[in-house]
Amino acid sequence: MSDDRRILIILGTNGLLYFAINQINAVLALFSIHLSLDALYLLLAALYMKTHQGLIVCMVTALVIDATLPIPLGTHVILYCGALVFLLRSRWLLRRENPHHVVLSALWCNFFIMLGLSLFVGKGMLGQSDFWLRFLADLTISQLLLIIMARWWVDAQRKILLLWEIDVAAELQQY
Amino acid sequence: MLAWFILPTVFKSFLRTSFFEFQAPVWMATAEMRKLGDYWAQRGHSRKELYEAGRDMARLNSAYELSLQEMAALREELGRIEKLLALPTLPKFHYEMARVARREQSLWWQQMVIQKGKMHGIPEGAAVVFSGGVVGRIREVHAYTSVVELVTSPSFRMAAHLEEDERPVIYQGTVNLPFTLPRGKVMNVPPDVVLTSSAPRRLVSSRLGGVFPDGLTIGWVDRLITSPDGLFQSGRPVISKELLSLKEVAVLIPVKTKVLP
Repeated sequence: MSDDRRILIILGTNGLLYFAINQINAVLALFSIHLSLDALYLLLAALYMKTHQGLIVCMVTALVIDATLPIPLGTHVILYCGALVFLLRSRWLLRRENPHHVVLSALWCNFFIMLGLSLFVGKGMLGQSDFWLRFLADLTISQLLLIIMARWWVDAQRKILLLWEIDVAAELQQY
Repeated sequence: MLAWFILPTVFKSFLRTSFFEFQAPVWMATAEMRKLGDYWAQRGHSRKELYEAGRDMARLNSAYELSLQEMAALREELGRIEKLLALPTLPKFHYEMARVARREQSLWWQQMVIQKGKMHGIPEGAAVVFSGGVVGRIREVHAYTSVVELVTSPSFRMAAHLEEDERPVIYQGTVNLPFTLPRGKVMNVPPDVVLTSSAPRRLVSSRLGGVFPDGLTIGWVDRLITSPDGLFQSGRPVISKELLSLKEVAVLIPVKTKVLP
């Protein structure tokens, strides 16, 4: 039951974040800038949740995102799961309490997803310099924002879980 | 992951529709909240401002009334000529207004979700316009919402022509650089067309594609580059900046005309 609850809570927070990012992007569209903060959806799942819980969170979030986009359903599922599996495998190298490790994980994760999406979606545009210039601009702005937000967002999600008396950090130590 | 690839398409299609319809009310609610915000912002105007806006609207309305009368006469004239020359009738459209619920303009795709769908008779592939010209084309239709592929989207292509030149050209959306005006790409322009930055030409829609009526603004072309073989020219038309902050659009629904025996 507590398992289900934490998945629903994290999905809820991811939903709110998705909604907020969309609203910000609608405004930033005026300047031809797009924020891609996909790493934030995966960070808590990768650092604090069990593998199956993390995969469920990743898949549902990815399906919600994919449903509205002109790409084959499952593109984000594959990218998110790929990034999550990599982070889960390298968990032993990461210290979740260390803010630098959290930020580095987020930056790597975001870069992997943005590059993967560009290579998959931008098939006909990969040779254009404009495409890569825009990619670099979007990537730089998104990564800068991630440096500020990553640690704060993971802490916020953990605090929300604590409201339901779920201490993921303590549970993981016992596990 | 392998399991995902072997899932039947029908199931994936069902999953996509379910996930889309599940989040549609959220985007609709956002649009309604924005509408409410606009309403309260309008209420903040003084009586004097409202009176002046009303007066300006009345003037505009009379100008449009006159244009409508002129248009009706022109339509009749066109009908007579069509009958006389046994020409096929031009497609007629019915305008369905819709509010923008969501906007997504990234490097990879440029689209918006509007608040009208199957229930309002929106067909897939219909043209979407605004007062400044072409917005895009309906890509997906859901129960109460539709997804519009924007004219600036890299995958958007349409038939067009330059103003006062009926020869067809190809327009395609392209990647836009940050902090610059949105631009597209125009190809297959005949080599005898000469443009200068001081006198840009309007790129308008062509009825050749069968989706858009003729003469709707796509953008302004100020420079053309001749291809190495010298057969055609290409350029980067500037698209209206308003396209990036639209609140309301009109969907052109083709009106089925009766074919007389």
